[in-house]
Amino acid sequence: MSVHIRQNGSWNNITFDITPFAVGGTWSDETSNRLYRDTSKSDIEQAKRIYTNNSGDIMLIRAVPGIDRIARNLGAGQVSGSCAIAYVDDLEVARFRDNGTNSSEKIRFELQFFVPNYSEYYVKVFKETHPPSDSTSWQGNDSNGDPFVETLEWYEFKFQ
Amino acid sequence: MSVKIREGNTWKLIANDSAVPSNVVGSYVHYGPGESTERVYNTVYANNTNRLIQVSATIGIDRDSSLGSGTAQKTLVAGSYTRAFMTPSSTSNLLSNPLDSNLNTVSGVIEVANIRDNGNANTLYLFLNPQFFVPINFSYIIKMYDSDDNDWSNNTTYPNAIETFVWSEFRFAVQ
Repeated sequence: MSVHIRQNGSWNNITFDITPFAVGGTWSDETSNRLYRDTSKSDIEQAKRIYTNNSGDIMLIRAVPGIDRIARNLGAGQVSGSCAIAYVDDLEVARFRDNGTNSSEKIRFELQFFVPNYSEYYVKVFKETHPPSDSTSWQGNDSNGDPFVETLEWYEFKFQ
Repeated sequence: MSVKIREGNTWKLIANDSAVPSNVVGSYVHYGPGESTERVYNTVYANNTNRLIQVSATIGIDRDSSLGSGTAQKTLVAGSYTRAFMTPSSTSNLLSNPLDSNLNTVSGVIEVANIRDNGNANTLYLFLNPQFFVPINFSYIIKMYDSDDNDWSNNTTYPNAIETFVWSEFRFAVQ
């Protein structure tokens, strides 16, 4: 951005080292660093799954939790109709339902939402129910100790 | 970053840090159920702020509670979809009837979301979450249609079927 002053009937450019303003940003792959909030976990473990935007800028989150029905040995009716909800500062900002049929073997929920600086954000996954409540959320692990809900992808775009 | 000019032998501040934006920031405003101001489908709203906003609304149907569990009700819900439209606020009257007889947008109307429920007839809950940006001085509306392309707002059998589950708007700014 240039800065001009009016001098004797003409505009003079007085710009010195003024950084032009433009919207930019970078993606970061946080897939291995982010987990959905499993409400069956301890308070401490749940707190670890509440993330804070300390970047100094707003962020766009693209989170994709999912369930591999076959690998988790779940019945078709158990998974169909599930949904994922994103929260910022404990308020819902995005919801994605599995619209697949009972035949879906792998379901995935792509949530996208903005997070202001200093705000906290997390994702929960619910079974087919309304209104969503912790008692009807996806919790815990299968008989092999593997979590029902996996983080398939989690990318964060930091605006600059 | 401050901006100064030299006058005589003195530097004078003509713009302080806040006057030269360098960061994109933003905050949420919520209009869901229970908020002091609630927003619903089939209603025209205007972005009268001085900021770009992003609308994220989750609207849908609690089938058994609002319609029932019969075959006709199941068929009505499955395949329903939402479309969102906007115009400059000066022509927001177009949003009252944004589609022509072929379900195409009429001239002057911009479609910004089109999301269908692909679930089968067993769907208990219809959740649709359109997300779209609204420039300053634009107006917008979210409409709902059933699987036969009928406008849900014209359904006299179930006039209250469509609910707002969540409605949030993210207001951008620079600082």
